[in-house]
Amino acid sequence: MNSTVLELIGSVVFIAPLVTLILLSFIGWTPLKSRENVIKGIVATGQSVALFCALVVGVAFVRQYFSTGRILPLAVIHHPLFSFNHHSVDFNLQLDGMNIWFVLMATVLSNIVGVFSRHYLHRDPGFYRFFYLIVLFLVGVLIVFMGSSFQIIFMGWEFVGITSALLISFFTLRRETIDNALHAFWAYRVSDIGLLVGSFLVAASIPGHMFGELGAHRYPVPSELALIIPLLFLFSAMGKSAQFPYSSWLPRAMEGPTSSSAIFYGGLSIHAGVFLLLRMRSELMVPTPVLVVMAAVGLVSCVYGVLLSQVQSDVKSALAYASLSQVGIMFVEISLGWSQIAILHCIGHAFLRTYQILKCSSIIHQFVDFEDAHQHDIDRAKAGILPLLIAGPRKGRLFSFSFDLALRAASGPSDIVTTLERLSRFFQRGEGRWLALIAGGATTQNPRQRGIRE
Amino acid sequence: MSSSHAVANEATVLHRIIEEIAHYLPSQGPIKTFVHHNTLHHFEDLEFFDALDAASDIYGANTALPETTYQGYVDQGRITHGDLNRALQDYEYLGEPWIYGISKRKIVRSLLFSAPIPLTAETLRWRLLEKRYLDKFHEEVSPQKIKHIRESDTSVPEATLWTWLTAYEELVRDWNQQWLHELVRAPELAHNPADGWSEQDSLRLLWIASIILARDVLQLNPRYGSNHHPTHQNTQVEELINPYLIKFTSSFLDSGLAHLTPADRTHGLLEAFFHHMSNASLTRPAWLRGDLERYRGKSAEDVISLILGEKRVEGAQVREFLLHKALILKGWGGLVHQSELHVAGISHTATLAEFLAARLILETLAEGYLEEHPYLQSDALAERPFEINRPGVADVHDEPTRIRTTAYHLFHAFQLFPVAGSELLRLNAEERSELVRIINEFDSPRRLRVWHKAYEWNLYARAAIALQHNNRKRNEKERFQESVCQLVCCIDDREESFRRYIEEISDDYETFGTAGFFGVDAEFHSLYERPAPFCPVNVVPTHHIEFRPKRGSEQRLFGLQKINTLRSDLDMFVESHSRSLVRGWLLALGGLLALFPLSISTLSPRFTHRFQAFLKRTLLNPADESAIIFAQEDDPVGEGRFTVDEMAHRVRTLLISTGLSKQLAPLVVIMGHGSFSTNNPFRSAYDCGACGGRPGRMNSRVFAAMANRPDVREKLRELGVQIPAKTTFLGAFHNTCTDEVEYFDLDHLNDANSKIFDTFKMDVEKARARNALERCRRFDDTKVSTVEEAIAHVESRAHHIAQPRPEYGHATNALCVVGRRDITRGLFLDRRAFLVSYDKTVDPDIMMLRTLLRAVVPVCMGINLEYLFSAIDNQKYGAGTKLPHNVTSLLGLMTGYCSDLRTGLPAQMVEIHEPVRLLLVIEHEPAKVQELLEAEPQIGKVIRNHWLSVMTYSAETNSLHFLDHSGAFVPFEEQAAEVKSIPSSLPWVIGKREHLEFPLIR
Repeated sequence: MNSTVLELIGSVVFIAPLVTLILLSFIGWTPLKSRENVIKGIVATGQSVALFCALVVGVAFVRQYFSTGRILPLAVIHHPLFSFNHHSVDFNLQLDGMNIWFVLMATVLSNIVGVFSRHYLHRDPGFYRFFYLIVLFLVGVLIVFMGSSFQIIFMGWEFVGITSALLISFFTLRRETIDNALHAFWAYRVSDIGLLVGSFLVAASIPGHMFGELGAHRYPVPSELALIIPLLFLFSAMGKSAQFPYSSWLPRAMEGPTSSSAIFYGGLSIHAGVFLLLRMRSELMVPTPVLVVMAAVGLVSCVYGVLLSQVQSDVKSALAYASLSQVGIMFVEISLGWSQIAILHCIGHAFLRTYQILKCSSIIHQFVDFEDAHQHDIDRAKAGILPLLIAGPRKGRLFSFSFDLALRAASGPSDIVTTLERLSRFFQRGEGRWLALIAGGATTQNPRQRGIRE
Repeated sequence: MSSSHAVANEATVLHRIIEEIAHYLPSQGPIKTFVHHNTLHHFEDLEFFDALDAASDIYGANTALPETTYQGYVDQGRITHGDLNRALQDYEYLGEPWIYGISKRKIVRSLLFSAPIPLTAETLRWRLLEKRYLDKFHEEVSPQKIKHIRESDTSVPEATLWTWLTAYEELVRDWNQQWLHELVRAPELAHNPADGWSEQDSLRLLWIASIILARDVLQLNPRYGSNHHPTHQNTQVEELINPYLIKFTSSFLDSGLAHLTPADRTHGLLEAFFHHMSNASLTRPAWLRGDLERYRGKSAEDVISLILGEKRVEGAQVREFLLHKALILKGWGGLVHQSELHVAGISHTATLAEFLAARLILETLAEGYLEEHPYLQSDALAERPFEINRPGVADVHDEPTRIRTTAYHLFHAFQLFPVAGSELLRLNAEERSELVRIINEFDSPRRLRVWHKAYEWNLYARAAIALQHNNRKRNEKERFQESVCQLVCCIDDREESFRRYIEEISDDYETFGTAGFFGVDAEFHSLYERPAPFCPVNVVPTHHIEFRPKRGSEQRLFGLQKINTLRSDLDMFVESHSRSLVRGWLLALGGLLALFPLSISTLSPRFTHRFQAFLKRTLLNPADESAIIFAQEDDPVGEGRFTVDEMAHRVRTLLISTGLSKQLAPLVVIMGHGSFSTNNPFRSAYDCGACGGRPGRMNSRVFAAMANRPDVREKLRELGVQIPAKTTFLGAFHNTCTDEVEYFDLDHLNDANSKIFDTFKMDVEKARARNALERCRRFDDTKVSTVEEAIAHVESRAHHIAQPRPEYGHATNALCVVGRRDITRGLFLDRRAFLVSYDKTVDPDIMMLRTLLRAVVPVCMGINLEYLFSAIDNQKYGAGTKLPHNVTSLLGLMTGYCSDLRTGLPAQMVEIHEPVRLLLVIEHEPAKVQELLEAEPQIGKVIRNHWLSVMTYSAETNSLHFLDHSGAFVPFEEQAAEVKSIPSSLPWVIGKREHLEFPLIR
């Protein structure tokens, strides 16, 4: 196929959801907003067009691979955004041999979850809001996957973060949902700093770069930044993928509708960190110390995730922790340089986990069926190697250890994100007092603020 | 000696208090067998509305729908003014003119139509000024009346006016609203203009009068206008301890989800908790590291009394204190109490006392920690009230808000009287205090009662009129001939339409309704399921029935079972191993395969259905079915088997009570029901309540087999029930979600019956398709219009993993008719009626009726009230929306990742429900029913307390009697000129979503 045509088709992968989003934004001002059929028609069209185009590009890539032995990156969108001091930031999207798999995964999953949600969310007062956020998320995640530079990835990264927080707080009747959304938002905000700073450092040291331009060659990063940039990216990826010690937000994120939990924390959002690391690995020289840190984070997270998943007695938390343990393994795989395996693992995991979360309500009857088939009550002590290795009092201790660890995440002032949150409030109050002092007014202090000063 | 005695005594008292408190917690068992029950079961000793008010004080829940909803029903014609008048008859508000020619009844009716809304000063300003409510009288007020009001205001002497204005100024002084003051400073008001008062002036004076009278009302009753219940909770402590307590209890009670559970769960929750706390854990949160020594080794009651002592809670406070603590996590407390009662399906036992003790210990630790670390104490986040304050909604405790709210409410109502402000303020002291008294008395709870009664009466009256007209129509027609086939269904409201369609197809068919376990109270041991009791929950089965492969088909059946086992093994393997490390990794690498089930189950759910049907067709042939083992002779060692006498007794009871025994058709089909849906934790709530929340598949089969046995028939002949030799009983099963019907043991049929059965089967196919189409009218996400589409739709709906409402279950249930099918046959009851077959002619001494009602009343009332309460307050009594539900411990559901256990029904199940109390229509004399209420204290209590409404019906005189609020039967006298008449059900229902009338079918 002619490469211009292919570029055009590739650009539709992104443009279709974008147009959907714009249409939905306009509909938000009209009475059509409450018409479920209109909304789902628009969303389904946008999502399926994106999927179709992604498939066409995918097939073309496969043919290209078999005829030439390699896949050339396809620049699908090029749009200058702004420039300053000889630096320019362009909105460039591309499709290449690596991200096409992720784009396919994103479009397939968003189609399936879209179909699921139109039944699931039927008659819910937030129907429009939900689909608006899901499309916004799709646009964001496509920017992450298709972005040609770390700066563009950062743009999508932010969309993913904000839609995630807004969908966690989808049901505003309970206070906890909002607290938990805020918690996740905090984790995101803190970890986003890494990608923001890192992407500008890359842009500053290698002006106007695009992924894959140099083929197999990687960007030479100035040596004084060689360590810091990958570390910053790793820091960001940890937050997005809920790796230790950021994990506490992940189970808390299970407050939204099941379908959004599935696509975010089973499917796409949780793997955005993995994608970032894969990009980093293929574009930059990553020094060994960073790889060691990455492997360590992954190892700790997967042990942490498995332990906590075993101790959870509710299905959504159990699946959330299980997800983060698998993502931990992906971190290890990437640090070892097994990128192909990491991609396969990532995509397989996304489908499996999405399916599991979508059908998590059926677990009761799955157990009933199982017990009926075996004609006896289930004894779950045998599941997993870990509980087998330890028995008796040690098992009790392991339970206490994991249970308390899980509860640290679930509540209380002892958690890292909460601590940061508290710290920022402290500064905020300090700032308030400063302002009051400057304004010359008498500060109205309450006893608690005095307590902090003491 | 005496002190130890005192301690023991104290423990008993505490024990008793906790036992009493337990009744206030939801009594829902494990969700895998969901049994409907009255949510406010513990309040049944009170009159219905009193109970609601009492419960509202405790749970802070609504007592009815919002007033504005009822007002909307008046516009829609769902409530008529006649209904309102009838509802007001229960209160003594006389219709005679009282002040200025307005009757007291008119006053309270005006109050009904003006619902108070909590108002901030700003919203009040917006309503009065921006929406121009101070410029024009309500549209219902006639120009003459306005003229009269203006004249009346003009005649006020200026000095009097000034006193009122001063009083008003005083009341609104603190509101900080300039416009309110300007209102009265306006010169035209103060100086009594010579050219008479304008409309605006009169309205302002009416507003002033409203404020002043509102103050009088509030002085009389400081609680007036505030039906909100504060939650006194230390939010920050709760935030720390609730997740801990929730997760620990959930781990303790877990029956299979967690792989790691507390080490020893045999000695109760508290013991496990201490054991857990004694494990030195590196990861323990700091606030939990306090000293626990003084509680260790003590019983739960001792721990509680120790902490009560520390907190100086004594005497009468103890109950209040503990109740409050128990209600914070009432769902979990309730489940713990269910485990204490050894409810089937919960494998670990904890007691409510232990649960409370654990909570109190945690509270002590958290409080101690926060005291030591004051800097951690609440910040902006924790100071927020427990429920989110929405912007623009006023705090209802605030004094000015209550004056504003009440005044605005009165301002609206006074215009509806209509009356002038000056007239109100010039009432003499006696009249004024009487008016204030009426307003106070007619407060929100009472208004809601009136509304709700009117709302219910409208429906009752329509049903009663339809019954009367149906009888007239029937008398005109001649009696139908002897039936060829009789169908015995469950009394379930969902079978109403199914029976109707079968009867519409041919007059040869006759249908009956009886409790869906068909009197077979036994534990079933089958090949495919674990032994379980398939009978009402209050019956403890002493018999068991075994299903065994028939000779020659053992191999095949065991093979099939192996396949079944493998399939569920695979499911479980993925489920549990995807959470482990290495196997989880391997599974994830092959995870692309999940794309197939994922896309099939969302994109083409009907494929799953067809595939399953195909497998069943090819793998299972009818001869393969297992045999039923009943009696001693088949198995000499079998204990608990039914003897011939016992079987005969059960068959006889059913045949006589339903009236079947009078004339048995050649083919009698016994049809149990159940419901299949995927990905639905509430699946069991759709199953047969009479089978204990299980499908009634085996019950119908067993009953038919019993009734076909020659020895049982022989015995029945001795007992005076003749079953003709040509009659065959056939078991069947109706899946109410997919509307499929399957039949069992077809080898019982002889040649003659086979022919009848073939026709019947074809007619059932038609009936089920029509039934599916009627059901589809309620699913507003589909627009099917043909029977084929309807079948396809309901089948795919059941298998759709994204479907939160696979069927609507018992939603819209409202009626229960106990009587012969003759009185309801040919009447379209919109799937809203439980139909119980009962033949009064064979039961003059009402013994049969008593037995029947003992089973029917609790079941139907339980269903009805659970739907009612979940509908009027879905957050407090119901389970909220299904969408964020999270299965926990395999026993219940939480909202999100960590919340109280959600009990009751979800919003998706009750969204189309009309919350009305069940109208029980009994075909018998009022005197006999009175006698029954005396003889059956349990039924008498709930009926006299109006938890359900009762009418009696007599087919001979075609008259109905309603049990009124004083407990006497009064004749039903409302008349309707005409009741709609339709040729058949289907054209009447297609394309309609709303609740329908009850027309007659010609």
